[in-house]
Amino acid sequence: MTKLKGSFWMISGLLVIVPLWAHHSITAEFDTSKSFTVKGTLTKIEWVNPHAYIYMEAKDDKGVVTPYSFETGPPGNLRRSGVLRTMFSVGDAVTIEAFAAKDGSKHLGLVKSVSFADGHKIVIGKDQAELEKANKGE
Amino acid sequence: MRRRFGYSLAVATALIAISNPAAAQNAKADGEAATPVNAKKAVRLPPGGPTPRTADGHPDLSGVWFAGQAGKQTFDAGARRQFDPKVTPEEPPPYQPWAAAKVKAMTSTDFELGRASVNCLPRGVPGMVLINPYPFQLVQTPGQLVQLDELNNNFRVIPTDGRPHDPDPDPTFDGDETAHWEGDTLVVDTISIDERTWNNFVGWFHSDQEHVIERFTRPDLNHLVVQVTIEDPKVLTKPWTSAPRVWTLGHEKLQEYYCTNNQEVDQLKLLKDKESNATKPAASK
Repeated sequence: MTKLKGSFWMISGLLVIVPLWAHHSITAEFDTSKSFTVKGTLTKIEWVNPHAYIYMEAKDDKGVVTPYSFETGPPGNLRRSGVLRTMFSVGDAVTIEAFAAKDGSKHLGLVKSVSFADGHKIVIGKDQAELEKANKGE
Repeated sequence: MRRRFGYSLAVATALIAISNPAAAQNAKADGEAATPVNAKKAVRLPPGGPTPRTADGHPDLSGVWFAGQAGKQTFDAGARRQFDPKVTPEEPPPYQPWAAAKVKAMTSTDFELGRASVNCLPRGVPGMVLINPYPFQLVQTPGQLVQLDELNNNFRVIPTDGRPHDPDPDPTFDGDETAHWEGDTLVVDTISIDERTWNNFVGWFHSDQEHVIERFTRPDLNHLVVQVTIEDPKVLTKPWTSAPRVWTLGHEKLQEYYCTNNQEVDQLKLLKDKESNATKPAASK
């Protein structure tokens, strides 16, 4: 058990890159050349097909709250990649990096990574090249 | 803090499961490929043994099948590939001029809004084998083959006794299907396919005259090969035949996939509206 705890800190930076957004083309809806990063608190977890979504609220310096929604992969593919619903919880303080929506909305993104307050990070799509390679041919 | 650690541990466990060589070794002992799912290079499955056969002597196509060569979900794009275009190239659809013009006029947003999957509709025949990167399960019994798709929890039941087509079938996503054996190849013949399906993700629509022939073979234990021929005298100038496409045997159950939270269509309609508005001033000049 002690060894496992130790292992955790060593492996917390590992990447989990999830391919197969076969339900739709990523690049039709998102601009994979544009990313944004936002810090906030998770407000809702929707672990359903065709895509799991996580929602957050971010508060700026003046206390104004802005809601965000983030698309991820299909739950089955996430599970096969080792990403489980129980890794996310309402109330978690997180920093999310995401590809920007093509429609210009600043409040919708496709998750690249979720960083948690304790330092661990789940990376779902590392960068444009990686994501496009992972989804090539679909 | 205690709760936080619980979630951290979950992450740690999951990541260990896919990165620990010992776990991979166990998977190998269970008959699965030893490569972790996120490895850049996945193991291509070997033949694994002779073709299994049913009591009547036909190849048994039963199994959970993953597109590509790894027998599982993989991040290795090469191992996910179902054919090598340099070895067995596929021709583009031989459209009639009017059909080619129709597809050429479509934007990338049109491609998205028009395809069945974005609308959570079934991919149907032949989409469930031509444009389906999710695994499916085949269950073969005397006289029928059942295909269970993870995607949308779709299924089809194909009679394999060589019966004739229904003389007056209704159009359906999977069409009117009948199959017969030609040696070790199961030939599935389908007509009367719902015109809402496409044969690829970029606009290959079809007519009510589409006729699809799928040839299923299992050359060894670990491999399933399907080759598809499409005839459509109203849309194509000649029949089109796919490369022999490869699936490999998995050792995990299908996941549930009911498409109930589809947020793409609204987004794409927004984008389509923007496209339409952007082209209006140009058109009026």
